Amino acid sequence: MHRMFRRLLPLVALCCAVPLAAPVGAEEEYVGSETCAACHDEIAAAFARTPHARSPYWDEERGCESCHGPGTAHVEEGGDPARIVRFGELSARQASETCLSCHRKQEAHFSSMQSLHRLGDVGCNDCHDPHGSHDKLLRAEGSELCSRCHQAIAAQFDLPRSHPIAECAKCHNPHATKSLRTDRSLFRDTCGDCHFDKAVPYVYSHDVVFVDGCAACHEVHGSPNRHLLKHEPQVNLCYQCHSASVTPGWHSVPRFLNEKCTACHTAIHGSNTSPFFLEE
Amino acid sequence: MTTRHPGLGFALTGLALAGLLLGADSGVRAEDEDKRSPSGSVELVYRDVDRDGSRRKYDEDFDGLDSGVRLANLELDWSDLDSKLLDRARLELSGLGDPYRRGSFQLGRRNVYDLRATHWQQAYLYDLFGLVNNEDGAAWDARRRMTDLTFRAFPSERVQLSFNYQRGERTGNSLFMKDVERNLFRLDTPLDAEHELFSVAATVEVGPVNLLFRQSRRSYDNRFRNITEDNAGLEAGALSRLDSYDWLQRDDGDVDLTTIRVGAGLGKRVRLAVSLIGTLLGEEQLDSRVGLDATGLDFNGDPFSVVGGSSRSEAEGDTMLVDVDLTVKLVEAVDLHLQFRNLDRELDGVLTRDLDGDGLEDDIDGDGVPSSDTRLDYELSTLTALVEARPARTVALRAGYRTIDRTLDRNGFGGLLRDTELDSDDDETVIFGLSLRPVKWFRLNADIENGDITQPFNAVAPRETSHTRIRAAFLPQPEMRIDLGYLDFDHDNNAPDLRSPGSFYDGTAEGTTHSVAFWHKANENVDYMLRYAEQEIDTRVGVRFDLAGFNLADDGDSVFQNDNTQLSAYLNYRWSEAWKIHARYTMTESEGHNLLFGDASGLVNDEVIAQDYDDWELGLTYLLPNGLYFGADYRDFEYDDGGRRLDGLGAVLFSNDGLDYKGQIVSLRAGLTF
Repeated sequence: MHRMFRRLLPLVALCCAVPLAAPVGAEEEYVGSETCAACHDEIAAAFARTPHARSPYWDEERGCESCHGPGTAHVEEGGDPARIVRFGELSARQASETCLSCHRKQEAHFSSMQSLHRLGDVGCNDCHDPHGSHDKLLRAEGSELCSRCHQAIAAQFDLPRSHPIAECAKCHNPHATKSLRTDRSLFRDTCGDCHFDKAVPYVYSHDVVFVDGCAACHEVHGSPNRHLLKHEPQVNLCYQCHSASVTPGWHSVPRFLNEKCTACHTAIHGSNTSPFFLEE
Repeated sequence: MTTRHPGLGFALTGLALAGLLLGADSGVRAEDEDKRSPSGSVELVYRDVDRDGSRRKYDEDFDGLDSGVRLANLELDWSDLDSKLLDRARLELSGLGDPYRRGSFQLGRRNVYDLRATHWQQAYLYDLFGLVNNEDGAAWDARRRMTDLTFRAFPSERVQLSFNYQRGERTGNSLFMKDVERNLFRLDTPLDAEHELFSVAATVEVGPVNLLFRQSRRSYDNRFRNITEDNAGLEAGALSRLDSYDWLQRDDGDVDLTTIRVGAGLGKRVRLAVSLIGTLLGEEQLDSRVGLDATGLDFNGDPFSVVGGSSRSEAEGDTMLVDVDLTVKLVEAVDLHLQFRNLDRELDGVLTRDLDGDGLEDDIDGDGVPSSDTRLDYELSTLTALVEARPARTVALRAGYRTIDRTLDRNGFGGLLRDTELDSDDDETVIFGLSLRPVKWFRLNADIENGDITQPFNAVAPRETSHTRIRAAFLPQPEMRIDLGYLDFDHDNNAPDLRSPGSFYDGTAEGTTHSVAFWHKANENVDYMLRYAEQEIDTRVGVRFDLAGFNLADDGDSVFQNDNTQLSAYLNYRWSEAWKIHARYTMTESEGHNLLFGDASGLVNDEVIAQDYDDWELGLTYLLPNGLYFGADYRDFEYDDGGRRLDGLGAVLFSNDGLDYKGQIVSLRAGLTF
């Protein structure tokens, strides 16, 4: 960790050297949501039913203009669309900044600047419809929405063996940063939300779970093999790491070639009674 | 510990609670009574399942989906309530009576509080006995249930308090294999595991800084019981048998985690997020106890008896995770992102055991000392620096560098050969990325990462990695998109073998996925999607065959080669006010080999993958003006498994023909939207 700090320090020094101040724009006049509703009555009616309208953080005074900006010029110009903020005309990054001006207060968005989707130029509006009525304002039901871009992953759920629960957001945090991708041991916590019986401390842990996570042995989306294992029969998988040099003599291949290691090593995720995971 | 019909109970509780709250406020005026009327929908379905072929495989794939009447869906939404206690409530139920069922309930009042509860249950059916070698057998008939309750209060605009309770249960039955006295026995194993999580949190906004403090306690209680009577075992010629066997194990403990998060904007150019998650105010703790009683014949055929066999273990652990994310706007179009993460996990355990019940503690790790002490210490540090430049509004470029240090030490695992010492520092990865949105109708995102790992942990982990992800989308119309995807990975591993000094790993893994999809919502009445995907995976890991003992090894390979082809489509079409149809089709072909072979010995274990699955559905719905509708669906599916296991001469040891199944599901639906 100390080596890591030494590498970190020059970068932090560079960041501290950057000026922190920036000019602030002048205040403009707001017309209020009732004025907006005079023309956009359908949107106003629909918006009243959205979670946004119920949010404790919703600015009732500014209303629509909280996101679309001051509407005075838009109104005075007879509804000129060029005189109001229209999100379809903004880049994904620009549009998201508006959302994050409030949503940065939420825990999930503390690191919003480094979220994987943001870095991939995916904006809030690509997945969320701020006028929508769904609980999270999503443009489609969870996994259907994700699969529009992540087609290859969605296809894995059509394999003959696939994870029974195919709701992406149950395992993935769509606002997550890269850190979660580089620390495999945290996969254990992700999987452990449902597989809680395996995400407990053990006196004897299968150490690969710490270092490479559940995905060392399992294909988590789908696989042609049972238990979503990377290989079948199981001995083919186990032998990759536990071949002749680290297994006792009675594990000779002619004897165990077509059998399952966990028939004896039953507590393969971890044991509290046997260093060899022989029993639960 | 097992709850009966929790979905129904949950629904009734939710309805009762909603009724109480809705009726509690007597101050509601008569003209507002219509606000008490919810909007929503309800659908009942009668399903008839007609299947032919392997019931076991059908249950494995469909989790036992069966005929009967079901509440497919219920949604009730009160969104404009004018009560002092609540201004909104929502109830959702789905799949009641089916393998996957879910319910959720929400209510709240703006600026005051928000209460959400969800419950889901998933069935898991699995029965391999009789399909493959008996010694490869396993069977589960399990249920996993999760309940989550979250209450949030908003005492002020800048303060939020929350309380969360989760409860998970795993119940049902399984059959379990255990080696006793050199024979293999199939034992009944009731499943009985549960966990609970309590957490309280406060979020506070102070100027440009947001703070979160959360304290959680997770308690778990897992019980394992293996029981049998009059069991001769599965090994041919074995003299041992079990007249009775009763292994009762209980593992319970707590994990206390404290979370402190800070998110802050420092001026217009700097954004900082710091997280600390760890056992600051507590620890990970385990207490495990085993009791064993058994009678039977030992491997010599002599009577044996165990009375009061026991095992007791305890473990304590600490976890500390530090995350720092810093973003600095260097100039208007260039951001520097820094991420630092350090994870440290330590676990100490002790085991004492007297499984034969003779009053003398077992010498577990052969060192002459009865008890066994274990220690596991894992530390991971990651530092990533990424520069993001936007030379134009439609272009983003990324270039970065990541370095990772990892150490793992564990000892006390039954001898020096099983102790582990991993030290891999200065693992390096370079990162490049490109995002383009040159015109409204086209977007592209590409990422390439190349990594060098100093010391992989095992043979299947990479020493050199290459990952490429390219996604392109064409959006010629607002409701039309064509998506192209290309994913590729390439891993090599020729690093020193951690557990065999002087030898080296020898592994490669390659995988490529292509996909193309077309989605179009032509108008409010028609939308359809087509998707085609191909996936190719080839992995090879060099292994050493143990032919009879340590000194008779043969070099060989473990190979996995798999090609998957998938086609998927759906159509929703409403051609009049009264009629609409939907259609869905999925086709999957999976081919390849799981292969293990020795170069000199000629030993081969070749499991051929040849699985075809077709599944289509056609549905028709008739809608009445008052929101009532009736529908009928026809679903047809067929699974064909040509998989087989071959020996070195190509002879079939067994085939998967017995796993084939096909069937039809006819569903009659009646529903109402209001």
